[in-house]
Amino acid sequence: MAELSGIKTLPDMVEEYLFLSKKPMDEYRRYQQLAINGFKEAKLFHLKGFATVTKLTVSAIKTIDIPDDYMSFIAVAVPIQGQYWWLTEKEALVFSQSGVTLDDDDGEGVDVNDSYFYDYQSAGGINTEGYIKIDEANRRIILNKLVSTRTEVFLLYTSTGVNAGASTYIPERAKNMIFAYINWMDKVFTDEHPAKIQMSEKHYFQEVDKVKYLEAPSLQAFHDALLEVTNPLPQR
Amino acid sequence: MTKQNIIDTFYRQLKVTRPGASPHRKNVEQNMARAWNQLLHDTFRRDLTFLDFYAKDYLTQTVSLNATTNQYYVDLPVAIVQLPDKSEGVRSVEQADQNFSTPSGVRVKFIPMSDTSIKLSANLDATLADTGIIGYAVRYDKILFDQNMTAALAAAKVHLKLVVPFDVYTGTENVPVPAGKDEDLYKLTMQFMFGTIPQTQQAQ
Repeated sequence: MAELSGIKTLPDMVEEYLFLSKKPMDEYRRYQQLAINGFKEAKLFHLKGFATVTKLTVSAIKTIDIPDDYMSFIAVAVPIQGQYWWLTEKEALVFSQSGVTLDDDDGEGVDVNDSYFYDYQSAGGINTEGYIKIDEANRRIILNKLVSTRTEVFLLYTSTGVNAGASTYIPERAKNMIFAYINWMDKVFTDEHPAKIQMSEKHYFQEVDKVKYLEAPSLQAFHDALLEVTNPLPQR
Repeated sequence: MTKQNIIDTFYRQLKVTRPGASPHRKNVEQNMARAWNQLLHDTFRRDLTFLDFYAKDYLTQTVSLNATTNQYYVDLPVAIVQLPDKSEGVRSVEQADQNFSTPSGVRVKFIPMSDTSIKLSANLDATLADTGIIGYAVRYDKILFDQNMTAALAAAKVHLKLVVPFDVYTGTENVPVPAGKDEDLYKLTMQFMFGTIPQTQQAQ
């Protein structure tokens, strides 16, 4: 006996909401937009497992272009022995002023030094794989000089998750949270009584809590993390 | 009851209430059409979904393209009753060749919108994400479609379900008078013809 699918498409969600709330079809597109907004919010703040990973080629001036479906930054990484190694965000990174070439004399794209001043206040540790600076205004991420063998990096980011002209799938576990979001925002945008808005907001965050409970790290993950940072102790 | 029966019954009632009156049949039909519009509006304005029962089918209607605006539209095959929602008397638009036996048989869905909403939502995620959802706006004698209507979908034609005025029905067609409203139809027609206030309103 086959069970019903655990994933919903966006129109499935909207139609179920309209059906349950007895809303008319002429509000379809408005509720569809609210559902999309709710899904984006869920992806940004609450749902696990929705990171988009894309391999990008580093340009001659050590930048990568931010993809069009990018909503929020997670990390830039390079692969080392089966795991991603994160590059570190550094606001002070110098980048190409000409936008065409890198001028070493101005420190553009050169390696970040370990502890410039050698005295007691220099800590000295650096990320030898590289540093990044997010330049979202110009839709790019600036990198410093990576180890010479690397011409590609992985960008992990939260995408919109909404496919244009193709089905967008939403997990069943997020359904009630998105319904609660639609309910809440519907009232916010239509200037409902503040008490009603407040009740809907509370309902939304109750649903968020339920989802976050499911998204919490597992006991095995905690155990693994503990083993990574501790040394074996003698049995007592 | 057929349209013919309804008009005949009106004449029989008229003989009792206004013995001397002998209005022309066309005149009766026109006033009954006015009464019909008001009756549907008053009966269903609170929940227009009940009007689905009163909609007439108009199969395989041709979808045309306005070459100047590049907007697809369909000419309404008949006049419709105006109702207080965005879809007016157009209760449903469907693809002419859709198959209701499976969920995937319904390839596209048509949703009523205002003309302004179509323009406002042209670049929204909601419009761009699901091209299988087509908005339509009813304007005078046309149904205008939003950007998600394509040449392929237009070629498949559409099936319209319309709530039509009384005068669109032929004499032998059944006219579905809302339950319990038969008497109101006659009274309203009488009121429009002779200016008399129906008894139910006098009592109020």
